[in-house]
Amino acid sequence: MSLFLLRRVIGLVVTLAVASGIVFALMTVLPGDPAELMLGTDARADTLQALRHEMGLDRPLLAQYIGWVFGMMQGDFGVSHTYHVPVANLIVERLPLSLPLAFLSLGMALLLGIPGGVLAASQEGRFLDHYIRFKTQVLLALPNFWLAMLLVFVFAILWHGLPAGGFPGWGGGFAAVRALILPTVALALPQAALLARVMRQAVLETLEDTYVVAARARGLSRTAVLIRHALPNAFIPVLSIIGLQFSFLLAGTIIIENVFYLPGLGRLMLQAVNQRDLPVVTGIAMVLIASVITVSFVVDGLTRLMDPRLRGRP
Amino acid sequence: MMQRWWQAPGQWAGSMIIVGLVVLAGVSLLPWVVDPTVIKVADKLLPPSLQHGFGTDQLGRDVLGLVMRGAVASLSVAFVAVGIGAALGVPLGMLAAAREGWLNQAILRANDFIFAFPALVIAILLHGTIGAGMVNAMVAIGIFNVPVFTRMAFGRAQPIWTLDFIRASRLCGKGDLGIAVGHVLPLILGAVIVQITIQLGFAILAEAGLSYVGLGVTPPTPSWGRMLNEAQTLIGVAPRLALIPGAAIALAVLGFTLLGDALSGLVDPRRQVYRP
Repeated sequence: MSLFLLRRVIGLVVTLAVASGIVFALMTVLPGDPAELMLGTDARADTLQALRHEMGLDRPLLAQYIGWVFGMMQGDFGVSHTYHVPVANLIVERLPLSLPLAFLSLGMALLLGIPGGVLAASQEGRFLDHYIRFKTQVLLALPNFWLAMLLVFVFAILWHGLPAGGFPGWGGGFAAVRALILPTVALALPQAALLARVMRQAVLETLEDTYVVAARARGLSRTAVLIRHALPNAFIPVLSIIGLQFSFLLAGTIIIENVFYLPGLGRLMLQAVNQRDLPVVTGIAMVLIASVITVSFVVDGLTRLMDPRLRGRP
Repeated sequence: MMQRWWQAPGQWAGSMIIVGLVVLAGVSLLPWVVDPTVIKVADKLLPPSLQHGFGTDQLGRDVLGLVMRGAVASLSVAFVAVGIGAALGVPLGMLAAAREGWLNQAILRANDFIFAFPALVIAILLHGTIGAGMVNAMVAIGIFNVPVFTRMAFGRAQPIWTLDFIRASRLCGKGDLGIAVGHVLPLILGAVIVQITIQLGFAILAEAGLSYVGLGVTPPTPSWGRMLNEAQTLIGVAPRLALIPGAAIALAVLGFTLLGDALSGLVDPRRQVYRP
């Protein structure tokens, strides 16, 4: 187990290094000089040179990369061109919105998707199964931002029950929770649909296994077999899907935050993309990438813990 | 019997939707059809009528024409992106299946790594180098599709390499490449086609998202995602501007996934297994 852990941790570090290398490479092949971008094209040559030196742009690329990575490890992501404040501060300011949004929708997706999938599997071939499969098929085809717009139309414009967008801050208490209801639902429903389909498939596949047939032959009822034998095993593939979903959830928050004008990481990132504010874009990209890689690392470990068959293997 | 009855309508509906979509996209490109990109502010926000089937938008453009022309952008991005994914991913997956050891490990590890990035994040990172536009969307969604096809091709091809007839043909003097192309590829081709169909649906969804946030198709090319972006502030005034392009996206995606599902029933022998 410890050997496995060591190998995985080394793998994690290597992956993070490769990811940061790719982001750094994409950043340096960009046309245009960041120093010139900050000062404008009419800057004097010696001021430009001084800033370039200050930003470390005259150093070799490898030294720049290492400096950048070590800076990030100490929480230094550089300074935003447009806001003129450290990128780390911008990110920390936005996290209290993006993180709760991501986790709330993941929670809602789990609460709806897993029981939905089990229900469909237990009713395989009957009306409820077809109904759930049809519903999830349609939900998966909807763009989440369109779903969000439909929710706004129904709940904010036709029925003035919920806010159409904006965020009053957590100090707003109940108003803050209300502002997150529609974004959470819009993010969670397609994810729940995907989870339900995966869960249904996983349960059906475990129900085909010989030990389930044996348990049925011993006289256990279908429900008992489903709950005691099929469910724990069906969770294993579902867990890895949940790990994958996390990265799609993050991408989803980027778009959904824009639909609802929520001041989160995603909105900051897209604004930065349009303003060519490179340190902000790369900083947020690295935060997203690192969290996706870490989540898949954790999920991998959890899968091992849950599946005793994998425990002995390196 | 029961399953057949439920599967058939999906197959028919899926094919009809896609054929209809391609026909509408083709018609919108005919030279004598009115150009939907022409702006005529005097005709703005007209309700649906005989002349404008879906009415006009905030700039007086014909919404029906825009939706039809939007299918062109959606379909071309989807086909190119999925084409990139399949053209790179399938050979990589087959290579990983044919070889054991470090090459196999390297391909699969790299694959898991790329798979961790949604097309949107790839598009944002590429935006600086390629810039917004159809090409950015094609490349970003294409990159995202590569590991999907690698994984699928690997999973399908690996068990085939252990079968007896592969050993037999090796005894007959056939090389690895010959076996891969002559024996393995035909056996996984059905699954590849199913995957292509399903990925086309997801690619349309991804393209809409990219265009919606301004990283995909750029003006004046009509695109469903951008129509939704423009409609958002008008949703209280003219909800149809938001309803119609969104429904078009959903219908197109549904068409491809329904067809993919139906095809996989034909290709996948597991589907015919009796379940206790």
